[in-house]
Amino acid sequence: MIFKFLCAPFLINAQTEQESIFAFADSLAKTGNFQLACIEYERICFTTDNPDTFNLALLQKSALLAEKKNFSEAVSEIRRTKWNEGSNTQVFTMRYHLALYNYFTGDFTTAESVLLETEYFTPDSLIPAKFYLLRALNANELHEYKAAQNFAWKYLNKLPLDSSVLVKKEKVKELYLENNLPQAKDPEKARKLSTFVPGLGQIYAGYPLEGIFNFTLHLATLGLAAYAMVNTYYLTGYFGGLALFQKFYFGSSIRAHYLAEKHNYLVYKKFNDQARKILLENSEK
Amino acid sequence: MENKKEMIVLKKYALVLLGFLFFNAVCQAQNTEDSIVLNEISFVHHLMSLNDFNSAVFQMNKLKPTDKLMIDSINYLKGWCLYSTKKLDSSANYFLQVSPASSMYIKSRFFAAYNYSYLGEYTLAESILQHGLPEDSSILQLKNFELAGISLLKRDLPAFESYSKNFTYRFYPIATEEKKLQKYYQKAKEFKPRSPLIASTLSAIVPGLGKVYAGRRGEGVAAFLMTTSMGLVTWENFRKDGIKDPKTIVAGSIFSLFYIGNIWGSWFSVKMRRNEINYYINHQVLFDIQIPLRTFFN
Repeated sequence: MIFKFLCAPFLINAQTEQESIFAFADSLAKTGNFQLACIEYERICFTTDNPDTFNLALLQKSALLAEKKNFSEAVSEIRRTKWNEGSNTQVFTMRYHLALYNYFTGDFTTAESVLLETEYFTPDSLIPAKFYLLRALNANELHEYKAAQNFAWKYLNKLPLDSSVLVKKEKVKELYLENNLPQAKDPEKARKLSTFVPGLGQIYAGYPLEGIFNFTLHLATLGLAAYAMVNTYYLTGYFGGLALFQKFYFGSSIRAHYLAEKHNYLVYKKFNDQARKILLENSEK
Repeated sequence: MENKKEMIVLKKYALVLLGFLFFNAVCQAQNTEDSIVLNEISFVHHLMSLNDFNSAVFQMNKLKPTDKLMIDSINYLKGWCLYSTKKLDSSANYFLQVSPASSMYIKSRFFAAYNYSYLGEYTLAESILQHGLPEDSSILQLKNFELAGISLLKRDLPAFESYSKNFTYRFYPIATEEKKLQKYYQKAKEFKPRSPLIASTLSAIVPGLGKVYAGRRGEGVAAFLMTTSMGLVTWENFRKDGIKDPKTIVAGSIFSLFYIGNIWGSWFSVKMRRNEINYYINHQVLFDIQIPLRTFFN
């Protein structure tokens, strides 16, 4: 859904141009004949000398691939764009889609650099609202929340002013308050804490119950070792108690590191999902 | 009477003319079809340049050429596309359909043989190389090299020795690979398969020794340490508290588990080691018999 919302206007505009050349390929795409449609768009690329037609065919082909969630292939196709030969509007469209498909593949850094480049080469008045929406969503994924807020504002300011936009603005303002931003944990700190006190890293990472259980386990194995040694069961104490303690000890610090990373992933995801919901709410209408 | 004769002659001429016109029309249609195929083939080349081999094969499946050379070209291109997408069985089928009249015939035979070697069909691969290839000296050297590689894959070491006598180490596409094949041959010759029974027995006597015998030293040492430590714990508890004590029973059970596991593991480690060596040799041989084909035919 988010893909169609971010893509649609450009594709509709594209389809009204050069209809006769694209008629057959477009009809195949409409009837769901995905592979044939891709081949026919590629044929247009192969036969045409016109860079705009070439770029448009690539755009259509990559859109089909993206619709089938082959985003990495869509990126490869868009990269074939004739950047220096197409019209400015078209090059903007191609760059936007390159950033969009990179966003969907999870390559947010590349998406960011493409968006930056696109914005640099395009006058602000010609940039559509959805461009800033993509920038905001991408900045969220890169944890650049101040920048994300700025872009969200720019997006909302470009929309026609009505009650729903005002409501969104309020929600965005509240979302990006300092105390609402995701608080990440340092995985290295979690690992070091568990090195000094087994289980403390897990508690720091936001898993107190597991931390307490971990600590208890360490105490139990140490206790077993001590009890066995005191009662002259030296081998049992060493192999049964201390060896087990050693295994749990090293595993605990690795586990703390992992749990901190997991915690960060979950808080970022929750925040980004919230931001996406606010910005995209009622936008498909 | 004469009019009748004239009519018959006229009819004959008319029939001949009609036949000629019909034949001409058929040829025209075929030419048109063939020119469509020719255009499509250039588009197929374009798809292949983009590594879109699946689309290329899809397009070629729609073509119905009549010209023999075009049929050969399409079979070769299909074979190449399927080879590039690792569908080696289908690829070999298409390569074998390329006729001797085609300029790609020799390349097709070699790659079909390579495909069957990769699939483990060594006899088929050998028969493809042994029949139908010209007696050109460079082709003969390449053929000898490929047959040597296939012998090594089959572990037919005497056959390899016979083929390797013809190695010159001077023909540039195969010079380096000939030396490599010799290296793999040495490795295969020196490898002595171990007995799982001996490995298990050794591990029963000294935990981990069977794995060391199988060539897995690290695993052997680890098995020794684990089993011995549990054995010592069991012995200590048995010595102090006797056999009926729960601690002895628990420790003894864990020790038995490790001990039996160590014997069991030693049995399989022989087979795993053998598989590892075979996989390594086969993988390297397949890689090194493919490189010369790509060098020679490019």
